[in-house]
Amino acid sequence: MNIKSRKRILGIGAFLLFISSQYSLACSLPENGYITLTDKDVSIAIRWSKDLTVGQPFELQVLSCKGEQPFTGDVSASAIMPAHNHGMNYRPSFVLEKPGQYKGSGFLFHMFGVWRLRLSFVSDGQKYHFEHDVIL
Amino acid sequence: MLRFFLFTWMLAGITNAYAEVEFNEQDMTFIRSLGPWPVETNPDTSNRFSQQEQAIELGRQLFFDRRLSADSFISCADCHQPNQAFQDGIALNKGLNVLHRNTSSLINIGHRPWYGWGGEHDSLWSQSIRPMLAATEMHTDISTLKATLEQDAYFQCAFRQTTQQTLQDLSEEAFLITLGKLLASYQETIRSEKSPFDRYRDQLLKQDANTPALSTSAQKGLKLFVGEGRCVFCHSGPNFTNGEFGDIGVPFFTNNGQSVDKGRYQGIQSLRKDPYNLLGKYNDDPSKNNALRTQHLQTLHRNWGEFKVPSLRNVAQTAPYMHNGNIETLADVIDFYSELNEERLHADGEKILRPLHWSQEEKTNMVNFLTSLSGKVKSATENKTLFQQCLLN
Repeated sequence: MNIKSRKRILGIGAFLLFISSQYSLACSLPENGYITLTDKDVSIAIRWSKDLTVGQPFELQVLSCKGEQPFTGDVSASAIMPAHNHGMNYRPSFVLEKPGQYKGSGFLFHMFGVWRLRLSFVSDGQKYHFEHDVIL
Repeated sequence: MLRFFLFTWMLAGITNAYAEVEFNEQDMTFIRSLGPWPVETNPDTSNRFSQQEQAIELGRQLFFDRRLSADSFISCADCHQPNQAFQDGIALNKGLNVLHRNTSSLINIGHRPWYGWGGEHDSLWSQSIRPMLAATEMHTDISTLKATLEQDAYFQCAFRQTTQQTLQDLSEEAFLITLGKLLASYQETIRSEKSPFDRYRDQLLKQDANTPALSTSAQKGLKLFVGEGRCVFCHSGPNFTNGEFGDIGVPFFTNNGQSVDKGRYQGIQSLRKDPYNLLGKYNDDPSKNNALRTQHLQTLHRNWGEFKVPSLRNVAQTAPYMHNGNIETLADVIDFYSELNEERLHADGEKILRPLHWSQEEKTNMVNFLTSLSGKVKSATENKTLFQQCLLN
């Protein structure tokens, strides 16, 4: 194999590596079955694990993108009932399942009415906030 | 033509059966959420003896056994009396000393998220240990109890047959935990059957044309319960409780004003310190998936003075009421809510509770509705065959 061929193979390899890395890092959110929310350049898609029932714990699945890349950083959540000005009795926690994908557990809405779900994302000192109202 | 009129007349009759009280879509959502009853229950994964026949029987025997208390003074059943809806019918009981909280009924006690008026425990078995260790209640000396039961050949045999362990092999702590789990297994069987309300709910959902299972007055009470009264906000779900805690303005001073019952606030502190909570090693579910609530619990300023939202099933049989037993009758409870003292409440936003100033008729309707929540109570009864072999020893 001459030098020219070797350079060509290396070039093709580098190109394929570049394409595959771009592919794995590219981030898009599903259009169906999720609620999508955006703050600045971060977009998230959320859905809960089952039909929400008063007094029953549930999990929250969160997919997130910062621009074209999966979001990585700290995620936290809370929820309040705006009408009654009280929140949940529990503090949810999140685990990172894979880049851009988090699972939150410890959610429990203990009363009928409107619950405002609040999600906070922090990365590199930047804060992002999302809210979504859920009616039980 | 006559047939048409007859049909119309019958249909009018059917409609009237439900038109006595009209329930809107939101009312129906709430009513639907109050059932079905009874609910299917799976074994308590934190208790390896849950729903096991032998454990239920041995737990039943322990429940009535006074040797579980200091000087064989009282048994569980002396305060949780089967003929008294598994409570005692008095405001504050006296075990070995005056208590400051009302004895809760054990009806439908299984599968609750929290136990105790302040939610000091997260499982029925750990709650069952509490009165044994309390100096003011049973004040059990575990070492003495274990030694006593080790001398009881029948108990030793039944214990071995149930747990596959011998008393001698167990540490005092492991013995205590096992007692708690056996007691819990029996208590899980204390359940109420369908009540008139449940039958009425079924009728509503099926649009059943039979005579309503609730009187018109009780139906009007139901309407108030899910509507203007907002009772269903906290007394929700098939058990008529959201399983959480609330401040309804019942005084929390105890001991003639010398002390304060901090309710849920103290309950959370106690729960976290409890070596027998579901995060600990005695939870029989190694995954600890059943400890989700305990794991995520947060202490909040508003927990101060909050007390457990009790189930309302069979509530007509469980007087007196409130955490300190200071309200004697159901009618008095309705009066309490109707004339609520707002200054005692610590709500920042829109108040869920506010004085409704109900008329006497409305109060009667509420009492009639609450009375309709009583179903026949059943619990495991003596099973003589299980430990027959042990009787021969």
